[in-house]
Amino acid sequence: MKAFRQASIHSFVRSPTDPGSCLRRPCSSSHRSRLAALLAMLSFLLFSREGRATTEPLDSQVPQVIEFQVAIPREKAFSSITIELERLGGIHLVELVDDGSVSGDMPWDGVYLGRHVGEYARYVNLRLRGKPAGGESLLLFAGVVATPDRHLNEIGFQLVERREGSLDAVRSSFAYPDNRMAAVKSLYLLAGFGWGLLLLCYVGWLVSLHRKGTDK
Amino acid sequence: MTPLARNSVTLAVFSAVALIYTWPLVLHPASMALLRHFDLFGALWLLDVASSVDGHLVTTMASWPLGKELLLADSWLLLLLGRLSPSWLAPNAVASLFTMVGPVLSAWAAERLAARGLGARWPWSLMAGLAYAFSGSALAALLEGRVYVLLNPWLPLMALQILLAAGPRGGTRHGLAAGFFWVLCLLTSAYQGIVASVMLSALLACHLRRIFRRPRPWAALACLIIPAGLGYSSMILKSTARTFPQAAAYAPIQDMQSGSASLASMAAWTPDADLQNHSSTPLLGFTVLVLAMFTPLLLWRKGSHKSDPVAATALGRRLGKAPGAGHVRPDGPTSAKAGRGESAPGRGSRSIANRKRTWVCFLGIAVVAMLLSLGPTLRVISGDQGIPWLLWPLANSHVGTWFRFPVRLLWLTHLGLGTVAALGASELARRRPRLAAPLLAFCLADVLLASGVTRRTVQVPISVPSAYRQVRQEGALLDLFADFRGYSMDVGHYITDISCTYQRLHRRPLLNACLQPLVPMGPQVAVQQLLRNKLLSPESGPGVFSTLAELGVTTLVVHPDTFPTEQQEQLLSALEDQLGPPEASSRDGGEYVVAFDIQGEADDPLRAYSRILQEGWGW
Repeated sequence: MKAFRQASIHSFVRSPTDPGSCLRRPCSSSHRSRLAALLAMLSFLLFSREGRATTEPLDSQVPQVIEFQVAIPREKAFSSITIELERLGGIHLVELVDDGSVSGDMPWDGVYLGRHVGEYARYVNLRLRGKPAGGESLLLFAGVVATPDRHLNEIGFQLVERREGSLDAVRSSFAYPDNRMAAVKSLYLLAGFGWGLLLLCYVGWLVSLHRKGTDK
Repeated sequence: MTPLARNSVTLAVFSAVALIYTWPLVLHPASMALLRHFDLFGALWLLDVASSVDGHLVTTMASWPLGKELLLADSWLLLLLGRLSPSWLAPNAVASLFTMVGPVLSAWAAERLAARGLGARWPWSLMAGLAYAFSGSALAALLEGRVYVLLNPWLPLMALQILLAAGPRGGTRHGLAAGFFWVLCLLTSAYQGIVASVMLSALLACHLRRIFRRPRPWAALACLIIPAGLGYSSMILKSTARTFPQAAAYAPIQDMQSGSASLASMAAWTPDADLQNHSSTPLLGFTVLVLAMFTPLLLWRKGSHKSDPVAATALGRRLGKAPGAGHVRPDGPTSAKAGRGESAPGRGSRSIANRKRTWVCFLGIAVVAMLLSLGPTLRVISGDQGIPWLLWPLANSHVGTWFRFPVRLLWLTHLGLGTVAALGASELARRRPRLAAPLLAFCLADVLLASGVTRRTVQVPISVPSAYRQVRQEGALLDLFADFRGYSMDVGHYITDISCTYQRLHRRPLLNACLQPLVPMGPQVAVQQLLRNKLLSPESGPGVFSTLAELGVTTLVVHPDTFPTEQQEQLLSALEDQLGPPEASSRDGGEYVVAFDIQGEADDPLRAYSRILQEGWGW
């Protein structure tokens, strides 16, 4: 293993004009200058404005997906949840569903899902409307939301009922069914502290072994 | 292993971690950024305008017609690099270099501090590099876009030079080097200057006796830091005197609280932290935290060589010519003594006593910084009310307005815990190398998995809407957005800061202030507000644009998607009625923008602006 490692290092740094490894003796100046020239050329190709201008713009290479998730309280029933989306000057209507017809949606779990695919937009102007069963359409959220990722942006909302009985959609990082939201949010903290506890036990055991050895 | 081989492997390891940390930035360094928030755009703008800054650090490319003073720039190092970098190097490429190479150099410097300053053995000294350069604070800086902070080897190098200055061979050159690195910390950012000052003060206090016995290194240090510190402070005070009344009206306790850590944010991240807490998750890393906690148990009794073979090998390294860390040549009487663990008088035993004082000092700095980073209230989770804590008196004073991010003191904690943990792991590995081996893997797991870095970074294209290229290329340019005070200041900052980066394409002066530390400022705020009111009111007069022309504005670029839908049509039709059809519009570069040409003579822009402020539109 040691011989293989040394051979690998020798083959990596060996220069045709310098038979020895750079690890055992100073590298020749010709080798250093060739390396410097190679690095300079790579830097120019990677970082120059001109080099960048010849490639297709990054924001048009792949379509951008914006995924909307809205978690509804179990006691509320909505006949439809829609998002009126303004994206790059065009107006689109996105219907959110909870019947499993959109991939990734779990049917009847209280989380409505919808997607819109289009060209890259740094932000969108959206209006979230919900129509309760037998009621009028309510405006739950209106505003500009940043969508910076060029691949996938997940925009989550949690519907909360205010004291006066009105409903508001509050931004959340993801949407889970109402009865699991708090548990899912706590899961990250539990995992972190669990990992810490594991490390505490392991290192504590190592320390006790060490101290036993020192005392002997 | 030779020192060259060891350093090569060290750099290779840190480079590999940095590659994973910042993937896939290496594939598109000039056209992409990795961030969740908006601070990077201000940095990109700063890099771009650096060449146009005059001797008073004022640029006319922003806050037209007043000009923008850059004394409160996020990073003077960034300003300097922007000025020195060649014109063919794109600003976002420089930012990508900071992101990819900065952590590697910072990690290497921390590793050297742990190895040379505290005596941690390789490869356990790598923990110090991982804990410092790839810490939760580093990830928070990456996600926020403060990439200039990622390149900070200056802090560990400063600490190392101070330790060397306090050692038996300390000289003037060490004091000068420490002062130089302190200045570089200050130039990196104001908060890094505060962090470096705290580290400097603590290390000096730990080695107070040395200062009086051998004053030369410290005199050299003072010769650098005193004039640099006084000069920096006077420039900042001069600049902030103008903006202080506005900033002092802010609610300081709210601001300092939002910029402080909570116990949960130091332990684990949640997706909500990226949405609601500006990605402020300064994770400590449980591996280094636990190791650092146990290090006193491992090393406290190791005061003399008789019970300290690790110290003996360190002595052997100093007195003999050992080729690498942890090895002593089995030749020579001095080395033989060290191999038997016998104590030796003279400089060796003083250096070992210093080493114990050093790791105790580092651990103390880490703990105190962690307690201070909690801010004015002690909270378990971020949304808690909390109980009054150490910085409570500061929060209720105006000083708190200018120290809004106590969480950034955690850089000291990361460095302190990392170096002490490396030392503790070295000690554990001395007897049980195979059982201690997984500790490095656990440290890597903290960096790459527990931090959630691969899930949290967002790939943002750096591009400009083509409409900016199609408009007239002279005169000032005004971007018109909606009033963001209604829903989210963060979204407002995000959109307005991006528009400043478009200047690298059109090179026109902007009314936007572009660097806005606290409250939205600059001529754009007043002009936009009055323009919105005029255009969206039922009676908009024809004279509104003649004043804009007098102000020197020749192009108005509207961002319709920022306005409520019902206002967009009214706004665009009012503009078409008065200015004619748009000169250009585009739906690329991530935005839909519509540009209008404004005809007229710019007689006296300053007078026109003061008239706007004093009299309003008036006709």
